[in-house]
Amino acid sequence: MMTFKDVYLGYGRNVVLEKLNFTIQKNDFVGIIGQNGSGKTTVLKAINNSLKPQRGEIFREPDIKIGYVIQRQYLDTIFPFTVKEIVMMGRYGKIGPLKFPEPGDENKVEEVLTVTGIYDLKNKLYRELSGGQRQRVLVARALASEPNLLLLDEPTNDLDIKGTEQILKLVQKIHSELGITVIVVSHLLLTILNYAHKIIFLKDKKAAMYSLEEIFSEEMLTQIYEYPVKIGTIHNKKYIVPEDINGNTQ
Amino acid sequence: MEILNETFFRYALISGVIIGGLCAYLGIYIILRRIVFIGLALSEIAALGVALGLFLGWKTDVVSLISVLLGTIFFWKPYRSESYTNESLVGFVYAMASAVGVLLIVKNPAIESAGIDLIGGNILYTTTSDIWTLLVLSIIVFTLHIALAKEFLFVSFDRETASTVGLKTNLYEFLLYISIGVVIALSMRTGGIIFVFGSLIIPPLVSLSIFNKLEYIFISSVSFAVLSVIVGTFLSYFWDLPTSATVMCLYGALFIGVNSVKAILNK
Repeated sequence: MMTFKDVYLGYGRNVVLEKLNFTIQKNDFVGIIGQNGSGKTTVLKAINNSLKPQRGEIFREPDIKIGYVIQRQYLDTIFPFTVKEIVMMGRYGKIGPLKFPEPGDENKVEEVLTVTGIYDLKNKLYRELSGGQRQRVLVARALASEPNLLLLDEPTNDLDIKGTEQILKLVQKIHSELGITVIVVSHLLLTILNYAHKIIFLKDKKAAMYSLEEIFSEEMLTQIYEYPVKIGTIHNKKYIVPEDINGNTQ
Repeated sequence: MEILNETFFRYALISGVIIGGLCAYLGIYIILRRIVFIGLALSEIAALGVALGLFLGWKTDVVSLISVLLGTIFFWKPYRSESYTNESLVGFVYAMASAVGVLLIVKNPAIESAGIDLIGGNILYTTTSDIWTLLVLSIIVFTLHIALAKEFLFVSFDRETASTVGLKTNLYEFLLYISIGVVIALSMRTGGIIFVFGSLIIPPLVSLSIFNKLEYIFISSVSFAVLSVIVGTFLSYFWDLPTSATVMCLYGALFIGVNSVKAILNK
């Protein structure tokens, strides 16, 4: 779907990431992980085509349609938009200027509101919703543009365990049932470890892509975290805990 | 109502209604985008343009328009610095425009003879050509804003996603800023800073205090402004008061009244 070949990314003369080499394939579920300031959003912008590489090339298949889910903290809730109005924005690119939404657009909006489980909230004001509900609205808006690649920027930020799980399960459902390629950016590996199939790890201006098999080793994770960790399993879900110096889990 | 037979009063009423309505509509974007300070700075730049036009003996509307267009482009694509915020740069422009404007008018006799008051405005000096300019302007601006309302709102709310779905965000932001700038520029000589800036801010605030639906907010903001201008212009005539200041006090009374009622009802 998309290949980064020796790509350098940055702003002006400042290089944020160098020599990126990875491929996003159709139907991938990729997690982009890195600490704050590691360049996660920069990679996302490059994937999104809103940032050109300083060097190198990004090869894209011509039929890519991106649905972008912005960090909800970036949106100003002073705007009195209803849920339906925000989701309809996802159709604006298709509707075009000087035109109004048609019944087909209304139907699509109702369909994605149902898929994301927020149909009953459609006439509510966005600013009156909880964090998890707002995140669903933004996912619905991205789906309304009928994408084949869904980009989510820190979708679980500031959500509790319940909200985090619900959003990631929704994204998993969209990926498996609608066949949409998914890229999720997060600063926490643990958050998306049980959902993503591949992980792009950003550190020290470099990026490396790992399969789940590669990343699920204590040696690899210890290297990534720069701290000794242990991997455990509960109900078929992996979890990571720090290991103290004597080898006991804390 | 004999006063309505007087041409100067009718012209004042018409120009006040057009300026108030246009500013009250565009002011919604200024409030929602949190660029009130830019609105104030553009008003000051427009006033500087009028002062410069009089100083050079050129057409004031043209000089004001050029000044505001340059200011609009500057604020639309601001110079970025690591050392200070864009907001402080807006403050710098505001202070400089005010200071240079004062220097240009302080010893210029043309200002007084033209009946121009850049601070308080003087809509009683409205001419036929002013009315036509404002009418054409309002038709262009309202047509543009009805045609591109959904695009203007989307880029104002979420520029990044708007770009992803294929909207020409730079173009729409430019058109939005330019429409605000042109209205401020062409309203300044007649309306003055107090009336133009007040109309950009207070009627939208009243509407945002009452309504949660954007259509109602836009319509009510224009309605509040038009109503206040009509009542204020009559009051200023009967009580021999400055028109801009009278209208501003009506705006203010409306805002305080609405929010007081809201506070009581919410108790």
